[in-house]
Amino acid sequence: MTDAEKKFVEKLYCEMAAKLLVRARASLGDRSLAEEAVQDTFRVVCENISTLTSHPNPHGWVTTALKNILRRIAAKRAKDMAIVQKLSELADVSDTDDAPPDIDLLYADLTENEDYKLLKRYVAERCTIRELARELGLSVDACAKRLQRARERLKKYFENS
Amino acid sequence: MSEQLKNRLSQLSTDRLEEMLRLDSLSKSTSSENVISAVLEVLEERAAESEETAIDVDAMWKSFCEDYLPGAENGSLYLDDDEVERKCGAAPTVREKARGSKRRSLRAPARAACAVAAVIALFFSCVGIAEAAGYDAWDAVASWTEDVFADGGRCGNLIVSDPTGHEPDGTGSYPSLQDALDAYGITEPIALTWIPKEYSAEYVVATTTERGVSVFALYMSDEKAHGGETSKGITVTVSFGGTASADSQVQSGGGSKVYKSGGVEHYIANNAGNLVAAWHQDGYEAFIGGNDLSRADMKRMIRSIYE
Repeated sequence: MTDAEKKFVEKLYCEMAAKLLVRARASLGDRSLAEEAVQDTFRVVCENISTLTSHPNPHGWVTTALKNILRRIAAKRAKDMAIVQKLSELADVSDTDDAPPDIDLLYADLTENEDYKLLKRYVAERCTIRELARELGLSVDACAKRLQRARERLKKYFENS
Repeated sequence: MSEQLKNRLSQLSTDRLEEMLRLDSLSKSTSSENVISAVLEVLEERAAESEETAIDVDAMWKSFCEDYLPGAENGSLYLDDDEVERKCGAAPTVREKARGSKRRSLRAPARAACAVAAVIALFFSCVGIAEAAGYDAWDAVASWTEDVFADGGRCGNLIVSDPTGHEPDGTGSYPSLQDALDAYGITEPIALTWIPKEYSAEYVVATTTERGVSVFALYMSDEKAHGGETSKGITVTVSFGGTASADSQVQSGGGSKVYKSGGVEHYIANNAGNLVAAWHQDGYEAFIGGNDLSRADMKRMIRSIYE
């Protein structure tokens, strides 16, 4: 981005962040998640900066981008929650004495599975990507990719079981 | 912005105003933007009143620059699975992007879906405004013909004719209302098993908040509502997992009819061809709305829940 573009983003941010946060907070019901949704919206702004600088209604564009992101977050978290819940149920089964030996072997390591733990922290404990990134010593970008890989592996783990 | 509108909204609870924002987030329409702007202003002012909820934009900007700006050229952290795949593969050319957006703009049913969703969102907005005017929200459902929509100035425009043209996201959407309810372990009979044959499911999305879960399903027809320009649509909204709001005590009011099916009382009200049914049971609240539904079809849909 050029200096002029950075100034454009900063101005837009200062004008809109508070209202976007209120909107995101209402939708997600959580201040930290809402703040990350706003930050993510401005990542999309930066990605599309050349479009935005010549757009007739940048405020409308940004609002629509936030609304898309809010829907995406809700859908993604619902999907992730379903994976975690299903895996948790299976893990519970493995804890019982009555569980068949093969099931026990298959899921005994689940609660120690790093992918499972990461996804569980993300959805069940409602951590933001930034919070997880800090814990893991990663950038938010790298952490988002790690989450994506974790959910792909867990989906396969579940589908193959 | 109308001070009168803002004053009326100021009388609503924060929960009610946030519900309006949630519904607006689902609708993708910008037609109720004047109401939404006023809602945002009221909530922003309320947030500023408390140190705990005050918004520090400078701190947010600092965090953005430090944590989120590096790598921002990669775009959203919440990419769809197919977007991840696309980004990992060859990036589309500008021409491909342009072709893609043209294809999207031609999907009229999706645009119409936005309009219907906006109509329903506006319905809830109007219920909220009615509450500010001294009506109980559920009572307003039961009497909106006479008391809420009779005066257009109170609610703004009911019929939306200028959708944004954006499609419903579809990301992670459920194939059916029943699938969405199953995903959340809801076993009560809520999902419709019959809808008029000209309608088909457009999308089903779920939003999760600290206060519970809302599932929103939209069914569309290619036929036009009332012979006009807006396509016929049916929406179903189910909220559960939260504490019932204080105004959720159903009271029968003028203009509504109680329809009992499956041992449950459903309140059906009509306004200018927009029919709405509302009911609640322990643990959930549900609404069905349509912009060109007959009362017979509404009743048949309700019956289908319990068959």
